[in-house]
Amino acid sequence: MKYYVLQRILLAIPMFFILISVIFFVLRIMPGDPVLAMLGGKAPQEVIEAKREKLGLNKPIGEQFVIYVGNLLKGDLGKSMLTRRPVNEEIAERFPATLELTLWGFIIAVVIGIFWGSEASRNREKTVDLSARVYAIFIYSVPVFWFGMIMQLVFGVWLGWLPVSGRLEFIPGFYEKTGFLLIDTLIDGNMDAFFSAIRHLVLPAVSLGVVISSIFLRMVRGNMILTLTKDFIKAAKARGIRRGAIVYRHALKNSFVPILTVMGLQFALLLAGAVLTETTFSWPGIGTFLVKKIKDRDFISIQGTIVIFALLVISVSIIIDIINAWIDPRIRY
Amino acid sequence: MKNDANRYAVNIKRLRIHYQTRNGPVKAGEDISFKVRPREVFGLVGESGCGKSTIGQAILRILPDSTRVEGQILLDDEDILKYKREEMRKIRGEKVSMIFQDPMTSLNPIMKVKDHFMETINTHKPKIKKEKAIDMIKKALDAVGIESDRLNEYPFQFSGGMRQRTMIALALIMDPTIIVADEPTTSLDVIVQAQILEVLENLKQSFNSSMLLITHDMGVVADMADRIGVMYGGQLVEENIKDKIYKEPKHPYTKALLGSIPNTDIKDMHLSFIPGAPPDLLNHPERCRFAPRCPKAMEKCWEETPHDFVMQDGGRVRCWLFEKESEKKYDPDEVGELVG
Amino acid sequence: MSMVDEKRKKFISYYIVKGIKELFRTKTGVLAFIGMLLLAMYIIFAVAAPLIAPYNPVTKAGESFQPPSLQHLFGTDNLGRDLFSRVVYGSKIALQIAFISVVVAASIGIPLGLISGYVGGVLDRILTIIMDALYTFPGLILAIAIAAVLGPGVFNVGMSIAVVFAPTYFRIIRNQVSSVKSSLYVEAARSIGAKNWEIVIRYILPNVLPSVVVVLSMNLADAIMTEAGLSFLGLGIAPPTPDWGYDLSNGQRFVLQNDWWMVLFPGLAIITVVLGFSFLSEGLNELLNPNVGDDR
Repeated sequence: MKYYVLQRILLAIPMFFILISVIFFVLRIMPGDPVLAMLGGKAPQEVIEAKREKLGLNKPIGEQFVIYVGNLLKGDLGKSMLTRRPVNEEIAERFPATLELTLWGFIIAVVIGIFWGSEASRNREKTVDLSARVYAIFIYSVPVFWFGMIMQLVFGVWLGWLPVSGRLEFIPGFYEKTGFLLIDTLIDGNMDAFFSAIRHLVLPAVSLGVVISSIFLRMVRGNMILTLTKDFIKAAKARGIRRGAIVYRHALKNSFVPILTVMGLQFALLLAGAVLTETTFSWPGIGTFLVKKIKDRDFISIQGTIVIFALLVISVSIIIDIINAWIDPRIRY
Repeated sequence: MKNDANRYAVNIKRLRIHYQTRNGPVKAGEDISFKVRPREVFGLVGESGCGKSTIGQAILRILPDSTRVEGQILLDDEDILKYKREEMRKIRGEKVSMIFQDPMTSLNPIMKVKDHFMETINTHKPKIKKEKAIDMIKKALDAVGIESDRLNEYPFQFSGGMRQRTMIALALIMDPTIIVADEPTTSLDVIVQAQILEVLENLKQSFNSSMLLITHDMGVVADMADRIGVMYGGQLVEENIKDKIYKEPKHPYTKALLGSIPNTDIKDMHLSFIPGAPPDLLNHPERCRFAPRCPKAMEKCWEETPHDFVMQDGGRVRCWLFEKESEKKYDPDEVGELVG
Repeated sequence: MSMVDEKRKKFISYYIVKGIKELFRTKTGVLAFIGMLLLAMYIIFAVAAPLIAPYNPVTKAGESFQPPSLQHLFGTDNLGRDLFSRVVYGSKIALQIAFISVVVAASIGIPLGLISGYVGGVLDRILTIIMDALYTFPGLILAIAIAAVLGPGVFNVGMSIAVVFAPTYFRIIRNQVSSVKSSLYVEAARSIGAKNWEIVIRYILPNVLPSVVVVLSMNLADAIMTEAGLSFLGLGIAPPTPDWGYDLSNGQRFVLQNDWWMVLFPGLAIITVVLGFSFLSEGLNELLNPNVGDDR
């Protein structure tokens, strides 16, 4: 098992390397000079040159690349071209917000997907199943930002139950510690803040979760159906094993590997969805950060953010693979 | 005086099985009746698609929900077709069990071999002590020739032959009344086949269960079976003790089946086969199902389904050719003595 | 068969009617049919926009923030532009970008996949790992990065999305080719002296293409969603060109003023086009890989 873990991590390194290289080169071929964009067209040539040298942009591209990789390995993502603050810091400030949103969205998607999916696979052609299929196809076609806006209209504007933007109302005397509001407010003992945080979290998390759940539901249902037709299920049935045990111990557990794999792939979609959801709800996370930096042409920040995304995606895929190997012994032998 | 029911492990009366398909009902089993005695091996043979596997699954009642099953299946005196779901579930694995055709896919790949057994035992005897359960498992594994120190392994670590032996052990661990073996050797290569047959042969000596041995391979039943039933087109066309089937086959189909077995007799260089194809079980008019391929078909064969005739030697034949010779028609309800 | 039947067969209409009857036999077939109708509607919108749209989508056509009425079926946006016209013209942009991106993605992915799968070795491994890395990375974010680099415009956005989806085609083709290249019929072809490129094009390609067809349809749906997402973020088509994603971002700005029509209609447009492609791909899937055991 440990051997498998090691193997898996080693395999991830070239992939990470490729991603960061792709990011590097893609951003360097940007039309238009970023320095010019930063300083404005009217700046004198010497100032531009000086700036360029300061940022290390006048070196040959190969050398720039080596410096870039070297810095990355040290954990240095550079300094934002606009705010001059380390990109690490700026991302770290916003990271918990995105994580909190993504986590709750994921939980909602998983709960819907696994329960509805299992029930649908066991009760083919009945209401549970048919409604699941309709839901899956329909929700798949719904853009997450549109869904978010409809939620805002219905629950925010028409019914006035929930807020449509931000993470928290302004609450005097409250300071974030971990950045995870649900935790911070509880630690602080500030129940008003806690409920406010929840109220702000509901719409974005549900929007994200529901939209992601469509694919998930389809996968769970599909996989369970496939597993339920397998011979060993029939054989277990022929030994008189109870229906519940068949579904959970035999079918679901066997479906878990492909389901988890799908969950892992969903993570990428989850991140993409998070970017869109954050924009819709003015949620101060990495998504809105990225979009803003792109508009600012702050390509060092852009680069740094995408590197973080790559790191996240690869880490999740490693974790999923490890869990898979733990569940299904065939994988690790 | 012992009554009829206690003489038989399984007594099937007028079993009729219809699959529902998009194009209409497929009559996979039409008026099938036979009895299996305790500790007897009954071989059910026939071509692919003749309905023999269906009978096996019908006894376990694991056919798809949309299948219509009529008639009676008496297991130890009780008509299990009348059992409700939960009642049936209780006897599966305990009173009646099945050995499946493909050992590679019939075991849960992510469950240890030991757990397969423990699950079955705990389902049927939840109060049993762990040590007793392990004893039962060891006994079953011994009977099939698997070392008990391999219990903690996973199915994929077993060879095909070992997996099939595991399946056999699982089928007999609760000491069922009857074990249905559905093509137990078909997926295995010839050498492993021989091993499995040997295992089954040994079991016959040491266990109390009867067996319904379903196969298309006349060679497999040649050693193991006590009595043989020949199926064609969803019907039982001949039934008799093994020796009589092989030496004095009656039904033209049985004869043709035996004739098509390749043998190493130099004089018989001609490999005969039965021309034509098995009948379409979807659209079946009322006539002898074998008529289109039968070398001895008469006009009557094309007009009416032959009755089940009881012959002098105790065997049964569903063929108009034997109408005159026979003593009477077979009555599944009749209490009688089976020959052999 | 009678002479009349023989004659009937010669008319295409016979096949069309037969095809439609066949479609209606399964539920999936009906879905595919609905999908085709939806898509046909949008294609008509795209092609005949000037004839269908009542107003110029780019100029002010009435008062701002008007809810739906008889003059403005979908209402007007914050600049007084007629939303219905914008939705109709938006089809053109959406479909154009979708087709460009999918065609380019397939043109890159399929040949690369063929070569990589057939040749194998180091080239294959390098390509595969690059494509896998791109594939697992969140598509939208990659598209954002590339769109940021390339800038707005139909072609540029199409290219950004194409890069995101090329790995999908690569993977499918490469996996199929690499498993198929050792099959008997390929060996047979080789043994009669077929050259490599002949084998790939004449033997392997026809066998792997069907799986691509299904993906193509779903891809078109994904392309539309991705494009809408890009425009929503302000990184896609530049205003004032009518674009559904852009209109939605506009709608988002004024949500608190209850501009529900600005949100609802462009969104419904996206949903129905994507549904159209989804249904179509379900139908194609059923046609090309008939489901065993799905309808009992």
